[in-house]
Amino acid sequence: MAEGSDNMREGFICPICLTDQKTMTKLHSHFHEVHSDDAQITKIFKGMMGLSKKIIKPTDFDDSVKYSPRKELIHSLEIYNTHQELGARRGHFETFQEIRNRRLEGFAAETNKLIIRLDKLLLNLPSDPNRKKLYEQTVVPWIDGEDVSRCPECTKSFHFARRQHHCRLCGSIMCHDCSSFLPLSKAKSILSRGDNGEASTDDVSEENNFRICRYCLNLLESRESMKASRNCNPLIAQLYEKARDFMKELAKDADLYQEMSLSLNEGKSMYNLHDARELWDKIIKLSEKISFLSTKIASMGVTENSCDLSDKQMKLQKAVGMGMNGYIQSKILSLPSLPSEELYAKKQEDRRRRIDREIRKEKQEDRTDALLDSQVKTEYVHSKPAVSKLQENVTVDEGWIPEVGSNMQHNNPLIQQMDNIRNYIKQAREAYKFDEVASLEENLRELQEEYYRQQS
Amino acid sequence: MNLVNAVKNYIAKMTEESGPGMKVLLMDKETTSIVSMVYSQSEILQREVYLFERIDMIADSESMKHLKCIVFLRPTKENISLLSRELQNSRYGVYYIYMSNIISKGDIKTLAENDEQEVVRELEEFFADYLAVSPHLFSLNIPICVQGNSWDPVQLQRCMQGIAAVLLSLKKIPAIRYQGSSDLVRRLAEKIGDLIYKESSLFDFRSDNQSILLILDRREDPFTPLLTQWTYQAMVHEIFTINNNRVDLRHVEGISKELQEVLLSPLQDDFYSQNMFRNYGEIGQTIKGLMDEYQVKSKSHQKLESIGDMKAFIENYPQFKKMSGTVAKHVTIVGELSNVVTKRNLLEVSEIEQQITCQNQHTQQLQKIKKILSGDKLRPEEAAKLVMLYALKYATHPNNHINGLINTLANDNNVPSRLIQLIHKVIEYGNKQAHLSDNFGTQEAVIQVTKRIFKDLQGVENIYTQHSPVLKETLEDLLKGRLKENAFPYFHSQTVAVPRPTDIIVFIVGGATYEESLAVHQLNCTYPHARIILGGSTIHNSSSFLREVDSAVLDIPLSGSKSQTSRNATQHSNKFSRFS
Ligand SMILES: [Zn+2]
Ligand SMILES: [Zn+2]
Ligand SMILES: [Zn+2]
Repeated sequence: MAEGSDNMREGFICPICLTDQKTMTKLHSHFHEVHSDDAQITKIFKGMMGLSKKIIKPTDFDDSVKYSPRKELIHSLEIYNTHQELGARRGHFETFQEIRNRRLEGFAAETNKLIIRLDKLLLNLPSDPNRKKLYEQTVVPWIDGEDVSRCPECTKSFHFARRQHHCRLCGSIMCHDCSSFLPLSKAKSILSRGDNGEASTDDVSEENNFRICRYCLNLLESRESMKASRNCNPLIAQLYEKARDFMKELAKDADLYQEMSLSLNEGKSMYNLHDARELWDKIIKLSEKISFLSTKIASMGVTENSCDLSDKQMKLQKAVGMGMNGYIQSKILSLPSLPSEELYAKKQEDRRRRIDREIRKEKQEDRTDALLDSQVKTEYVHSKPAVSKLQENVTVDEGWIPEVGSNMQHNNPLIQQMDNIRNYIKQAREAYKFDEVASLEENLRELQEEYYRQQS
Repeated sequence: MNLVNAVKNYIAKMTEESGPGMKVLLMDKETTSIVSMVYSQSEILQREVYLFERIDMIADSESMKHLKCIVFLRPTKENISLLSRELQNSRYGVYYIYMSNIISKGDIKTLAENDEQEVVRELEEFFADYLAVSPHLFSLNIPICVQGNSWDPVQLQRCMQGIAAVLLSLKKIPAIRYQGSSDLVRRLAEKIGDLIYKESSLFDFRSDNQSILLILDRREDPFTPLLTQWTYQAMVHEIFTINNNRVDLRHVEGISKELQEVLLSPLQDDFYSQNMFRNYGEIGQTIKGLMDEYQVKSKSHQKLESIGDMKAFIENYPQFKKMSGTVAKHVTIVGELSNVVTKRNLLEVSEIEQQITCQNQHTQQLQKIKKILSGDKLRPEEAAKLVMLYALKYATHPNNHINGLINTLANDNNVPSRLIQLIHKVIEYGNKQAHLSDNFGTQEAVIQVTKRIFKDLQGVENIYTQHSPVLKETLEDLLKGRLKENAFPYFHSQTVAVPRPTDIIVFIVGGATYEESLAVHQLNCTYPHARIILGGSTIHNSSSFLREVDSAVLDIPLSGSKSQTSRNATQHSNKFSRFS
């Protein structure tokens, strides 16, 4: 993690030699000048940094190379780089929602009832404690406590020292220990009537609070937390969003620049060199803006000698910073440089000459093409029978193998084995076991080929 | 078929569906491994995932409503109840829930009833329920799935889920074939077959009818996991153990802090991906080449003849150390491998191992084993493994000297009783295999002889890598349409036969090995139309394999074993079980 924080402070560290290049422009030219020819080692690093991810293209298997071991492939996993579509998936969210809604509808109705009652309670609430209590009872009738001998919440019995209390929102009975207190100020803020001020939580006096039960409190609180998460937009989220917009713009610009610089480096005149320079400057400015934001996010709330962040917040900020720096590097370091004015002029000239040459050559070829074409075709026709003749030779020759082999029968295990197999083929055929015949025959063929190879 | 991409696709989709914004990924122990096998931290940062949490290790209650929470869990009872608690006290703004396998109606209800704050935006099954070790290899990380010759029911279920997830993520509905000789494997095949039938709405993609799921039992080839390995990946696993692509090097003397635990991922380390299938000798050459190249650049003229020189060079040039963390890592690993090879006398051991598995010269091999045991240069582990291989090969040989060798180990080589007992267990474990070869038809026997002759003709390319796992032959037979139905029956007799499959998913109950992974990779490279994927309940090296054998075979073998050796094995294990 210590290493991570080093990377964080400045966003312009070379991913290969880890030197600090101070600005994006310097880093870009350093990367291209110093590391462009580090061949093998750079390749390893590029792979690591994800800078040179090859475009995955579906590998077409050529039927003509059937069964020839592709030896060079064995030392890489490239043959697996074919397109893999997204696997099967099954959603259950509809079922989930049905069950959830059925249940929450009940809650929502109850919560609404509480909100309406809270509204009525606050409407003409007397400040005198005794009159307040009477008023509360008129809004929400209290349950008759005569037959209730124990607190339904904690099951302790009521007596002189543990008196019955009523929830002002639902009228239910509880003991003092099981009561919760909703400050009037909080009640007002629930109803969005200003006064967002947090009342001191130690104040549990009846005149500044509504006494309510835990059940009602839970309903109100979950309503509040849902409201809060909907409106939650801390500074980090705002900065992040801004950075994301820049990154989107950067990606678009980088793509265009890539195309422009490739075209210019080939000496084409589709784009203007000056425009490309302008775009490059814009990209650099954008990357510096993002880098600035990433540093800001990473260091938010951290001062020289104090840090009032939780571990988790710290981790989040660092990771966001790291992610943004990684993004800039992956976008920009792979971008090619632009040619200078002179070089561009020369490249344009080169290109013109090359095209001229090609046109002349093509004209020449056109004339000879027809001739060549027919030649190739006849050669192809001729070559075919030659191949099959060779194969025929092998099968024709089959007859003499045992005879020649007979003088060295005991020396060559191949011949012995072939004889054995011929016997087995005969037996299998007599038993109508044709799948065995087939596989034995293939076996025999392999042996024959091997034998042929030995003899030649 | 590319398993790594299949898993990556799912994870990319998860991060997309929640839209733009800062995200936290909430996982369990297993899904954490699943994700970290295919995504590096820097890669996942680019998908706006900035925090990672384990659902079983939530320490704080700090809420961050401005974060979107992507939940990726296995659908276990425990996870459902932990997630319910999380939803009750939601710390994040919204939740997108992805289960790595089929979730029950009851669990959906439980979650829905706990979402009182209406924070859940999605609930979906994404079948990334296996570790994609490489594009053609997966593991379920089950160290031991068989106990006393029968399935641990939890692991049977896990294997079924893992394989089902592989099929679903690749959109395959294969015909199922299995090792007919194994009851364990038949039960797994049945469970998967039943699941495909029961969940036909899920397994609902156009099937090409050219794919096969082949389920095998490790007990049919106990040789492969016992052999000394020489290709880079297999060797590192055999000697250091690769766990979720990570290698623990803390025990290496004088190791620098940053190399105590290293990542060996073919996805993130190009050097590794280009060299994991190369042999030990080639790797040394490659590394030397890299160092030479750097030397030219740094204009240093230090001589680099040995791995030791290279290590010294790296230490003396901090610039190089920084510049090529990857190379430094591999120099360290190869250096330590070479130490171990010398210390354990592995070249000599491996030569004998290869002869035992590939040739039929009982007397000569016995002499060689006796000689190396008397030399007193072996660790007990290597000595015991040699005897295990010998015993597996010659258990039914009339003149075998198994007991004599075991006595030598116990008396002269001070091999601990735990290992001696394991020799008996390995014999018992592989017993079925020997048993089966008795029933080989004459025709098969003839073909075996042919194959051996071919091997002899081809000459010994490399005396340390002659062995080729049984799996390779089985798969070649399958590709050529020669795999016998009586030995590898189809699940469900009415299944339409797939005589020449192109897409093959092989699963080995009791663990696959990296040697087999390489064999499958070679087949994929050799047959252009073959697309084979290998999976195992785990990826074994010899020590993890022996731990599984220890559990798979009961301490007291069942009576009625017919051979002399197994009766002796019974006596021995009785004798030693007192000490274990
Ligand atoms: Zn640099
Ligand atoms: Zn109430
Ligand atoms: Zn109470």
